[in-house]
Amino acid sequence: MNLIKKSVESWVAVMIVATLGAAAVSAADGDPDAKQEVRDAAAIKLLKERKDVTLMYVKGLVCPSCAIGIRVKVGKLPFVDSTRYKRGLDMDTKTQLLTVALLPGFQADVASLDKAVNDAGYDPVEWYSLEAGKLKTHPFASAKKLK
Amino acid sequence: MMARKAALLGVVLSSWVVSADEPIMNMMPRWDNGWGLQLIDEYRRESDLLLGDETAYSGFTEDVHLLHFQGVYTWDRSIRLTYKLPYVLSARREMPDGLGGKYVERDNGIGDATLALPLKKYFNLDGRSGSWTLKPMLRVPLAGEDDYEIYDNKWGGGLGLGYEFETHRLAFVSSASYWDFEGDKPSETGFSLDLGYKFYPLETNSQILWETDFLYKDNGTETLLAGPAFYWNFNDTTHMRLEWKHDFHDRQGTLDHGNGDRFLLSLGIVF
Repeated sequence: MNLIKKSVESWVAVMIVATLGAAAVSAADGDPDAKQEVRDAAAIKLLKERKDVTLMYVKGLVCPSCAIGIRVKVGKLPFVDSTRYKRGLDMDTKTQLLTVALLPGFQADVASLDKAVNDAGYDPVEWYSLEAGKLKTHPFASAKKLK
Repeated sequence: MMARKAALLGVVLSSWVVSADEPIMNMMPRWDNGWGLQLIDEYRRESDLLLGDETAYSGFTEDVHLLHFQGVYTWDRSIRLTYKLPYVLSARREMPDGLGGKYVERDNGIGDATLALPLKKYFNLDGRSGSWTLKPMLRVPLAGEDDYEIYDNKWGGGLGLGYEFETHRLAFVSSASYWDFEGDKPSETGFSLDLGYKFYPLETNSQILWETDFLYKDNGTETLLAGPAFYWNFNDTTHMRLEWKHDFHDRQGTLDHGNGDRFLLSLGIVF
């Protein structure tokens, strides 16, 4: 009886590990929502909806826990309006888009944003603007170096 | 009878499974100059005394209640320093008295500390982020002497390797470690595999995991333990984790307790 119980327990454990392992391996290529065309469409929508913000693409920003370091480092920059969103930042972990709320009358210091995101452990790629309704991308200096 | 007495004399007093997880919650901090503290309340109960694959004494239990004080400092994303200091609140085990009965042994007090220097190579990709880890470790003997020892008061050196990644929904953590100790304490080889599913209720961050650990000691001891865990962050600073692991396979190279369960409640703060 004990042997049967042990065998069933072991079989259940192996099946759970195998199922979760297969799911993890299949997800290793990332989320389909993170594709460039999906991100671009989301960026256009966000820039049309939100005022006084800087919108940027941060590689690796896939979980709210990732955002803690971003909030620690970016949230303390002098041009960030920490009263908006969550300590001045809003992020979409599917598209890895980071919205930085700006204080009225302030411009984002792109070099400071670049350094702060790197210090948080992530890789800033580019920031966006809308020109005549079209999305324009501006690579960060650290991303250019990586290329 | 002589063989059983010999086995009793050669008992390995601690069947402790060293967790491969690092503070805080094996996740943070990843940012420069980040630091954190973690407190873990652990309760473990073993049901039988085992020798090899056999139950030598059924119903001879061991109950261990521990507190773990842990901390971490991150210089930058590639290097951090961690410490783990266990404290035995109470430990009690039943042993055969040789006359068909039992006697009870106890332990309490500070345990052996572990220092580690995780060196990490992070990668950030479209929809996926992760790291490779190389982790030198040092065991520092601080434990006192009692009826028996949960911690052996021996120096040890270890090396850990890890690979992990996460996406918006999934987390994958794998690691391997090797420990060698002074004196006759057997060396330990461990493997762990954690698989997690992430969800976000009420704008918080949660994760359910299935964790599997395998430990091999060079005296022939093998333990495979696995079970569910739940992680939740109250806010950016405070994090909680619940964990239950069951021994699915237990083989003791010398007479020792086995066939158990362990429960952990962790509370971490990070800045």
